[in-house]
Amino acid sequence: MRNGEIVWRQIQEKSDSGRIDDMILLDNSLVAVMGGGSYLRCFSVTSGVLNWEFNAEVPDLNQRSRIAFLTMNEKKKIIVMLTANTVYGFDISGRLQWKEDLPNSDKVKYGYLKVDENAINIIGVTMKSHVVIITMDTEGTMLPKYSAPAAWIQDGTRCQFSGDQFVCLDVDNRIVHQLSLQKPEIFRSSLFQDLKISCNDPQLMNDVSDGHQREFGIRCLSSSNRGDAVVLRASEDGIKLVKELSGVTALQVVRYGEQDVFITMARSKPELYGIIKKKDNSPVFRMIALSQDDSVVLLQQTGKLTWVREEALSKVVAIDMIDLPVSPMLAKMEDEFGTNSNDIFGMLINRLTTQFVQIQDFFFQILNHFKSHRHSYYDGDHGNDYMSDDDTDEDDDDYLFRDEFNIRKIIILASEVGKVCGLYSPSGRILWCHLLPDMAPFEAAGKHLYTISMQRTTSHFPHDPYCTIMGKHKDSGLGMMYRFNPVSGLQVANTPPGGEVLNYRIKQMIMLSHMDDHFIRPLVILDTDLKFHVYPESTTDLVKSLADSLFIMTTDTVTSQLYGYSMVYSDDKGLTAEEVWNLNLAIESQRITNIVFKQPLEHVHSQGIVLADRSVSYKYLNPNLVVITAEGSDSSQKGFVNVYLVDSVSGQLVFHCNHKRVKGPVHVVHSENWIVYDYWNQRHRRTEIAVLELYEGKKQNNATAFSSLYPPPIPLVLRQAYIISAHVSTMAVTITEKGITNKHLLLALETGAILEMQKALLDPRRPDVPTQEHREEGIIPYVPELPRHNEAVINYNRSVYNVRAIHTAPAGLESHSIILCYGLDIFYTRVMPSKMFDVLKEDFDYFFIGSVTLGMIIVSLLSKKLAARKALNRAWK
Amino acid sequence: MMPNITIVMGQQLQCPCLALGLELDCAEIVGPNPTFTNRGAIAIRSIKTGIADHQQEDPLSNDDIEKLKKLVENDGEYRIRISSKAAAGTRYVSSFTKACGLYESGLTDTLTVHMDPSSNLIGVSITTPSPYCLGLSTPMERLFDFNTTVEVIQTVPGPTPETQFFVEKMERERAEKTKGQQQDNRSFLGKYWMYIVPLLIVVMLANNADPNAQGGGSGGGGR
Amino acid sequence: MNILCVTSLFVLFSYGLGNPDQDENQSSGRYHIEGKVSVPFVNNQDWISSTRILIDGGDYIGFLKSDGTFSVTNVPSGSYVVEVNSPDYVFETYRVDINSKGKLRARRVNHIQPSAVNTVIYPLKFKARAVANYFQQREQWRITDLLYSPMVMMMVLPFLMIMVLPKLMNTADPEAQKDFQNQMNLLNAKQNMPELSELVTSWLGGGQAKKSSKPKALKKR
Repeated sequence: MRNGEIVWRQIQEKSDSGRIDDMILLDNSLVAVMGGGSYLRCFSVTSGVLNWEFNAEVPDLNQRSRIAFLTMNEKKKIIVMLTANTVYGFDISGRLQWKEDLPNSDKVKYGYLKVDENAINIIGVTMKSHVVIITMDTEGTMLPKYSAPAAWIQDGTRCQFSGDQFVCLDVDNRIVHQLSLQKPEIFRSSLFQDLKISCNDPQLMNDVSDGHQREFGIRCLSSSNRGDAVVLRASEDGIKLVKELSGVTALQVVRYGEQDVFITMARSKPELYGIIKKKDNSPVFRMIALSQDDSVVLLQQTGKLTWVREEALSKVVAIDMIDLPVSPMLAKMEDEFGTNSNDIFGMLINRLTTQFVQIQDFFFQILNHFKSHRHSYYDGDHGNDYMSDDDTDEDDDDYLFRDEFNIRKIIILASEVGKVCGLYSPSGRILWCHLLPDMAPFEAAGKHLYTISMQRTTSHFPHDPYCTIMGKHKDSGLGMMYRFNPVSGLQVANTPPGGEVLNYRIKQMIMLSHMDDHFIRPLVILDTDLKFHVYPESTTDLVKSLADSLFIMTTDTVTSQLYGYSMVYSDDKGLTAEEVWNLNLAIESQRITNIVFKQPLEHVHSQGIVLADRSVSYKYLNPNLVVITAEGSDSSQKGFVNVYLVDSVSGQLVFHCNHKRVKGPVHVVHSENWIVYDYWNQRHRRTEIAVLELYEGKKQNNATAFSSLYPPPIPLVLRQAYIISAHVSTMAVTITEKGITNKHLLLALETGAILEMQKALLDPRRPDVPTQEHREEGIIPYVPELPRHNEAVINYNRSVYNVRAIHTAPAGLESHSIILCYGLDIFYTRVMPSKMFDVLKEDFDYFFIGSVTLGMIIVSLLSKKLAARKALNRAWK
Repeated sequence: MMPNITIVMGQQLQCPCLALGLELDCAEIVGPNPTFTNRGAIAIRSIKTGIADHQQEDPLSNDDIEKLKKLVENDGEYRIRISSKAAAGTRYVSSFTKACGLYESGLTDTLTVHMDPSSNLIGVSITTPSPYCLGLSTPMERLFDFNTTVEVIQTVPGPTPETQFFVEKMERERAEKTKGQQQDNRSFLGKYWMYIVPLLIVVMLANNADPNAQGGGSGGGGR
Repeated sequence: MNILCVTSLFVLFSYGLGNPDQDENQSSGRYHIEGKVSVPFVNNQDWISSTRILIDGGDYIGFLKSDGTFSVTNVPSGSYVVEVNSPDYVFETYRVDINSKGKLRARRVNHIQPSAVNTVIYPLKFKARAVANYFQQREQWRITDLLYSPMVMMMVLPFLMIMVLPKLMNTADPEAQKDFQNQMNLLNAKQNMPELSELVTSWLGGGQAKKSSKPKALKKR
């Protein structure tokens, strides 16, 4: 509570059965019901240890279940759980006291539960027809049930308990319906006009507390009177207006002692789901607010912020990294070489002035060293606390400027709720955050994603870096775009801060690798009408000139078809797309699950591998190759996985293979000339990893440039598969600037470990019986199981659970590759696949080597003198 | 499970077995909604060996040849489409190649048809022998008939871990180890005698030399 | 009696696992997998809240109670890999087969031969084998590495012999030097094979050689 740190957490199942429906706090235990009644678990609040667990027999995963507790006469506490078709009663040690089936549970949706010392009330709704009220006493015996007609009830109607009344808000007709729980026969309606409320888009406030309070709140969401709220009281006499409020966007009614208090919040955006903590006797409180941008704040009564937790960072959907900009000094240095003036004098004067300025800066730097205390390193270890308040970063001289080895980066994250944040990579500190309230992620192959395109990096001083995030509008589905400067987080000039809405839907987009004069790469978007749009508009000419050689591929995951288009420029219609090829992958129940291209920044260092007889086997390096995996199950519930390698420009199927009796989820890594993918073998019940490597053969088709329109013959595909005794969440491969370093694969396992595995272990040429040639080339003999050592785990005992993806990026040093895993937690580290071969290691023993060298010099000098003296003595004999 | 047989026009098939027939069309009018005209049919004799035949419907008319020449001048693409009629409906796949490649090689092309394990059509690709356009012109006589070779590729089974060989190797090694251990016990002492004996000889020689010298030395010292 | 039970159970399961198809048809019965986790070399119980049991990599999760026991309920019949997910300790992994009648059997995991049966007691007992070691020892330079390397031994020891031995012998003393010379001569003389043959002939030839050696010795005296 004090600083927002997590004391313990217990991560539940990933599937729907682990979805947390409701929670209550009871003495020292936290009782939570999950997955529509699949699990009812009680944890101890202090330590996080499980106290007891219960499973409902037939849980309904689609419906949220509810729990509440009641205190009986003799202080005995009963926990009541309501699932879709049954209601249970437990005592606090988890023993089932009673259980009752609810009648007609297939037609009636039971979703409301209210308990007090005497009775349990359950209300179920049948859409557009009526409401069923069931009362039970605390021992679990069913009392007669009632049914009240309610033809106005629809799917989105919200209701809640208020005192001993059940109120529902009919949004369209602006009526509040009220049902008395003593005589639940008929609903009484009160129109908004009668209550003197004027509200165009009302919404019932969320009810978090136990329903004992008698007031409830209605908030107006319409743009004209936003911020207005009314508090109403429901009683046997009807509904009465208690208070009208304005300028409020959050309201919570809470029972405090004998009275009801309502707490309002007058700040933009946050919606209050209050857990109120009471202190002393006077109503002093603190509140925790969960806001629309997924941040949790603890506020004092006065409105002062105690701490903030950015929980949006646990739902990150897209990530990219950008180098820090060079410091102005370095930029000036580069500037002096890049001047356009050609005369000697001009260049000399320029050089002298910049060097004078540099000497000045150097002196100031030395003075600063002696003045202030200097942090030689800072401890970025703050666990999950993203908002580190210490300013150790800013003391560092190179804060926010590129360091010598270009290892520090700015991480741009886009979270599911539409929040874009920039993090400083050495410490994970949040530099800036920006909420785009109307943006929602695209949905592709069952995953949510935003696309982040880094159109201009920081390497081109004085141009600012330029980045674009694309998503779609929440309501209309049209494309939405936010263009900004990734170092500062501010939007590019002349664009709206909340993102711009485009007037078309986006089908596909691609960022070209060509740069225009201002070093911007154009972003080309294909809309659903098969027209191309180019952003920024200034690069349209560049795209027109390249139109003949540009092709784009789209996938329809619903019908399992792939289409390829070529770009055509005509004066009247502009840039349009023309379909040139299509592939039909619609087979049985197959659906496409992965479409994986290579990383566009990747640099392949060697064009082939050298075999033992000194001949070269050239790699098939097709930059347009895409790996498509499709999963399905046949008639007898046996799964299958198909893997297709498609050239996305010409539509040629380079290779396709099929695995029977396996099921996904399939994770793919595609890099250089190889593909690694994993799947679950249903027959042998183990995870298997397969690798494919493509080679052109002994002759290289075209040594200068690869063209998909003049393709080499079908490559040779070497393949092999291995077993791994772990469940893999996701996989990625390290990437370095020049591609000289070995490649290591990173596997995120379900146990929270991230395993680093050499690519050499996944070499399809690994032989069963090694011969002399294999040993010469350095190929390891074949063992069907891949080793899983604890020493290969890069995150030690700091487990990272539910990893969604791993992002790898090159650093300035060739031996380093930067790893960023995101999912529930964010984990950042650097790995050195070939050990650190280009920099001396940190504990390099300067002292030892220096002293040995010095010692040897002294000894040699001494022995020279001694030998001279001895020779002299001998000569004198 | 093979889909329905389509009627193959032209010459009769040699083998009486079931054949898979596909229709081959080429694009006449290029643009957003191209129309396809029938160029011929492909009869697949056997998917396993990848043999297929191509029969051309009609020789190209002069009109078509003119259209092709215009396409070459614009550096356009020649598109083909293959359809296969199955119980669930017609499946289409299409592909393209540079028109000039086709023109300069005198209508020689290679079609590769890709099928999945249950013989559904999934893709096609068309390539010409010399894809680079040299700007040659071909005489009219060579532009009437297509000289096409057709290949069929079916989905191969994916790789699986080879555990059988490894298990056998482990069994063999285990058997050898149990046998080898007994041998080791024997050679334990047996190995060492080779080093012990020469050492004994050297020690003996040294002892024989020493007593004489020591005797002399001590005698000398005694005086 | 026990053997009989075990074999009958085995027969039951071998039938069950003989046709893998049967395992796929899961009945609607829900069973539970129970066991206990313990870390014998640690006194406190802090590790309990960070440890959980994963069935098949997270399809079903079991949480530990304060005494280290767990019970994963709601599990349909089939074959599952049960592992302990603990960041600090290393535990063994077991496979639990539940047949359609609800009989449970636990065995060791063998992915290379999945149908090999190596049974283990049930309810499962997980004992931590070791603390998880994530780090490799850094290579440190030690003086012994240098001294014990074969090259050094071959160089240094003969060097010592040459330098040190004469010092012990005290070559300054002329008598000692003469003795040393005699010793060397004798040693050289001893090496000659003919000496040996002479000895042999003396045995065969008679006592003349002996008489000649004896007066020599007398003369020296």
